[in-house]
Amino acid sequence: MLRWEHGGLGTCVAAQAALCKVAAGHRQLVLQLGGSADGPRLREERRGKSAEAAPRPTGLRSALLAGLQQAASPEERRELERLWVLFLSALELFLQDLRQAQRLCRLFSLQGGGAALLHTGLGGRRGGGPEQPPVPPCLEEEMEQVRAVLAEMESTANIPLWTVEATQAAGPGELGAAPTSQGTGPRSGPCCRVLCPAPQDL
Amino acid sequence: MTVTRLDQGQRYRPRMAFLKKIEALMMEMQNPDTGIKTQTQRVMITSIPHAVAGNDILQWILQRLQITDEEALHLGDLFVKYGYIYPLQEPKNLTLKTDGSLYRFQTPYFWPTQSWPADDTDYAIYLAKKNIKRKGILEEYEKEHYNMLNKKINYKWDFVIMQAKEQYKAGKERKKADRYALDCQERAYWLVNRTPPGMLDVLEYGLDRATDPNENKKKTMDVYRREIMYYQQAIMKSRVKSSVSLGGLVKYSEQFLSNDPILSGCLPSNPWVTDDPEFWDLNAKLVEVPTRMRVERWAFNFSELIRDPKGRQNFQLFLKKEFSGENLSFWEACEDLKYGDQSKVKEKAEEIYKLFLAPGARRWINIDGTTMGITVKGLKHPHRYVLDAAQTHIYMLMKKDSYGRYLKSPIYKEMLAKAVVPQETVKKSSNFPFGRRQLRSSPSPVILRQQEEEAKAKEAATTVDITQPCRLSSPAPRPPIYAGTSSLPPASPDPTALPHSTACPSPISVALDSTAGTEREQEPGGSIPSPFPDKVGAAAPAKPRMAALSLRRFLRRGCLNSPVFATLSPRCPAVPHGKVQPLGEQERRLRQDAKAVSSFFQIKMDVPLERRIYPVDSAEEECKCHQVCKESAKEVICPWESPAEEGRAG
Repeated sequence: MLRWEHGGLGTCVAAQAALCKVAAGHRQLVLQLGGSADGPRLREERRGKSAEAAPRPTGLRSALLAGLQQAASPEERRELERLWVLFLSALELFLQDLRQAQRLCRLFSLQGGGAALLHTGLGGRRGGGPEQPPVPPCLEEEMEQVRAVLAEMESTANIPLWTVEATQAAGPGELGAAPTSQGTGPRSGPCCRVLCPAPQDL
Repeated sequence: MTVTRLDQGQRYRPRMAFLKKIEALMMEMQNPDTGIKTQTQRVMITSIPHAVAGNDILQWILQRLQITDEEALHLGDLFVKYGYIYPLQEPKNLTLKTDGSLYRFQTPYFWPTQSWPADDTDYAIYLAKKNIKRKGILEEYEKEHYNMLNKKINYKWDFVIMQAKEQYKAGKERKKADRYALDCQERAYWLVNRTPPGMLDVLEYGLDRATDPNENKKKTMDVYRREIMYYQQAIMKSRVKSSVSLGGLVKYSEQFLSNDPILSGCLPSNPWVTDDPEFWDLNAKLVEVPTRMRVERWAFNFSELIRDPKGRQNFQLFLKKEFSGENLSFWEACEDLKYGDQSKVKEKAEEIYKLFLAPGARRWINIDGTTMGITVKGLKHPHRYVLDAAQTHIYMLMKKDSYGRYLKSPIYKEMLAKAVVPQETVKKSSNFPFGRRQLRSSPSPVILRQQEEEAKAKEAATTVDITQPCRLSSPAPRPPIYAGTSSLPPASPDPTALPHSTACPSPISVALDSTAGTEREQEPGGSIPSPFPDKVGAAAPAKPRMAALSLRRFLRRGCLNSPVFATLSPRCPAVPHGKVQPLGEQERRLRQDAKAVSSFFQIKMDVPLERRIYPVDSAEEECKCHQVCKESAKEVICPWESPAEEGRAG
């Protein structure tokens, strides 16, 4: 992976990492919807996060597609396919969170007297902010967008799942004989070191 | 990438109506005025608000819903079990304690939804996150899940790890109290959705449904049309009054109470308790001497008799005495067709037809014309249920007719008397609980099945039924025609005996051998029993021949007791049946039958002219024709085979 840091593949990897980060942040926010930290400000924040994530899918998709078409070596191709699958997974997760957000916003609509927000123990990020309730149609649009990208991706590139192997080891959960999953070991980069304890750690 | 499944039905989670109700109550609990008072939880140096005491929850439920204590406690307990409230001090103990134990409300993100279940990917991310936080903290069952998920979604494992890291990082950005609360929430969620072993999985709901309960179908014409069809069919369904069906249940329970090994104990002893397999040995499928309970059970109803292999065996003995053994054999053959090897369906169906259904078949069963027509039609495209109509007919025949007599018969009574009542064995006290008992394994099912098949084959080869006609001129005295299994000659066809019998135990035929000398040449070597040769000899004039012919048909129909028989051949033994029919009428009737059936069959062209005058009812009619007999082996040609196969031999 270090070898391809420069060039098209590198940008794909970076974009994928960024998408993951945004998705994680987005999830954090959706988690608090309906709870004690909920409020117009939270919703604004969530929308902002979602907007941040919005252009990435299309960009990453085109980059990956381009890469796949021009793939030089079979290794590069394999790497691109792996990234493709990861990208799809990230998008799916993001879509799921969007769905949750839609459901929660509907359930706890801030308009009309404020539905009873659950006392979840979380303090919201206090501070002033615009008190307007979030506009529902936005969410639908976002979801549609993501869905569209997903559908497009699934139809364009025909990459079977089973060809993609994980580069990360299974981790501590695997006790006994084979601590590494298939295709790992030499390929794991430094980032994986954290997660691959030597078997004696168990 | 999740593979979206093809819609093959049954992928909708059922409507869980209680979810909405609990949600409404949860929201009510938040009301600052009428809701539950919250406290602050102290965790080390931080304090987290919004903790609620168990007792307060209970009191609130009692007051709000006006129900009894027990109900309220149960309901509160369910709230905790479903994950709407989670305990703070004992996270794994998902029960409502009505003391000062603290609980907190779960964030709606983690509420159970009807629309989608807790995702595997999410769980993998959670476990990975937990592991990142502190290595080795995963519990045993979590580790198992982790490994399993690693294999299952290995293609997105990199994503899982990546996302876990990102989420962990995102969580660290928050202040400590929030982080703690978030962690508690997530942990509670997964305790509910991936229950540790030993804990009850309350969210289990059985199978997925075929229709989407949330679907709002627009009421189009088509929808209404389908609804109407559905309701019409529902109206047509037969219904039974609940009093009647309950009465049936009660009757069944009363009748079978004594046979239930759990409720009434079993003799000699329950093998699971005493480790003594004698009970199973005594109740083996085809044991020599069955137990008394088992034999008494045959008298409860017909299905009890027929589903017990020993019962069937005994019943078959009785049926053979009554000359209707082919009924049970046919029934068994149909069962084999239904449940046996489906790759051989066509062959099996043909064999059954040849053996039981074809006119003049060796073991012809007596079913009415309509059923026969349906069956033959269906046999053009055989499948496992093609003989259902005929099988049902025969089943009802046996049930209504033979079964009653069977229960009064000496055969059954004898079996009942022979049946053994096992002694109750005392449970051997296990002085040596760790001793290894010498446990013998039961016979291999493969071997058992082979034995069964051999027995069946032997049975089939040696069984003769009364429908097999016998010779008219019998100089022999009259032993009863017991076409049963007693003196069974070997299976190979005896060329000197009647050709149709691979083994014909009938004493008459054996005795007739001496007189059959002249006819022997005329007998075809066919696989299908030909009617007995004309006793009158080749020079017989047409009339007696005709009489003999029709008599043959008559006999083939199984009415051996007719006095006509007696007139034509006074020495033929009488058969203990009561049917009396005049010959002429018989002839007419047979001729009509023959006409109906004749269209199915190909007629051998070599049949002499005089024979053609008579309605030909089967291909075996020719037996008297010398040339024909010599030339080709006659066989029953199944009506669904193409005419091109007509001339083929054997």
